[in-house]
Amino acid sequence: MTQHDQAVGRYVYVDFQGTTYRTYYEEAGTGIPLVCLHTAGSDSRQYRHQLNDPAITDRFRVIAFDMPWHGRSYPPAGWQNLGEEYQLTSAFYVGFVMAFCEAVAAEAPVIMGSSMGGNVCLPLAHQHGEKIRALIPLQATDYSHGWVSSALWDPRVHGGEMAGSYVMGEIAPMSPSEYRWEIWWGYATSGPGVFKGDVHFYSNDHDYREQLAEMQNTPPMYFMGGDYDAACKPAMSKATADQIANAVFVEMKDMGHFPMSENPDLFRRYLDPVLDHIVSGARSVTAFAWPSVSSAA
Amino acid sequence: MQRYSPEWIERFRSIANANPTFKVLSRPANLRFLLEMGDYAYLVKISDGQIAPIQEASSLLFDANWQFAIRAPQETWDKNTATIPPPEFTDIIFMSFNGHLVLEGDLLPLWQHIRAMLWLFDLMRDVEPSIAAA
Repeated sequence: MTQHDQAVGRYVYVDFQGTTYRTYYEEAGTGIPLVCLHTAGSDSRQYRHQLNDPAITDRFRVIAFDMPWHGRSYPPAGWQNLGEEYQLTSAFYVGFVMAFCEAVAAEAPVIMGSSMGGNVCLPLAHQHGEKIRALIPLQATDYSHGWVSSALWDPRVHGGEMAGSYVMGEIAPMSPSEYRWEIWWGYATSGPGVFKGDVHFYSNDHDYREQLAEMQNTPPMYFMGGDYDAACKPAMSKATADQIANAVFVEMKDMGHFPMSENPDLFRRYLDPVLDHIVSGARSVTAFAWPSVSSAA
Repeated sequence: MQRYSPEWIERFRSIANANPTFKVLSRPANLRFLLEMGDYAYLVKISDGQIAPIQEASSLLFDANWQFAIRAPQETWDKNTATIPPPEFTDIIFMSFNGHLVLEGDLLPLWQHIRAMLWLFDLMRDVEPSIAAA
């Protein structure tokens, strides 16, 4: 019998800063919108497990999209004449995420993102908190300097081989091999220079150290960090969450930089209590705590 | 057999040369690198999908003209080659980022063949199980 994933992919035209971006997204489920942000140099395929998990989609309208330049979303027309390297900025990223949410009628969404998608949760919460129900920043911090490398875009090096291999050490070694290599493939199939341009945001343009003190009135923010992430270490995420009034943090054992992709079953044990809390309508994380989670299969 | 000794490294070489994926990944590579593992140092040459007999770099070599060097103390390699390496010790890239290992020299050929190199170093975890089974 033919088997399909329940997720359906399509394109939406997102008008932003005078340009129309034909933007690819996948969607499944009904309920509270849960908008998922991929990592640097990858795309929405990273959320295939959550898009096909009835325990999530029974309560949430899960939406994962490809940022412009990523996956099935082309760069804007004329990109070849840009005259400079592609570089993602915080202003563009924040604005585009909100424009996308509006385009797909994701009202008062929950926003979940990993790595650069986690970092952008900080300005999203700070600048657009009144339009967002809650945020789930994964592997996120206020500042993560030092990750831009010229080796990420150099015609003498195969960019796909480089990008895929560059991130493998951030994945927990006990995560299933199939999913580890899916992550590699996702990175290996991104466009030339895109990973490097995203890391510009991740490592240079995103610096939210000064603004944390102003983040006293945000939606609930549920930070999670894997212990095997040697780029954004758990202590970095915790230090950020500790400075935000309405934020909590949990360290995930036996997890790396790509929780939603590398070990979806283990990740769900941390995610489920958060989703329960959001569904309960809670507007504060004061009374929230993760139950003890075992990483044993 | 002492860890990282010439006998150990020869066992490693035979495991790598018998690995079909390493052969495929490294076929386009032509690499010469210095591998320092604590007190041991080796000149490793890879071409045509095979590692040539590995020489101790401390001995008198006619040509030690390596492209790049990978240097780390024994404790680093002990953690990296564990069946489940601890955080920060998962591969040579993240050991380098976190200050446990030094990469030096001309790194271009390393990055050009990085998947082959990471695959190769993953195979180090098979050395001691193969010794135990022998």
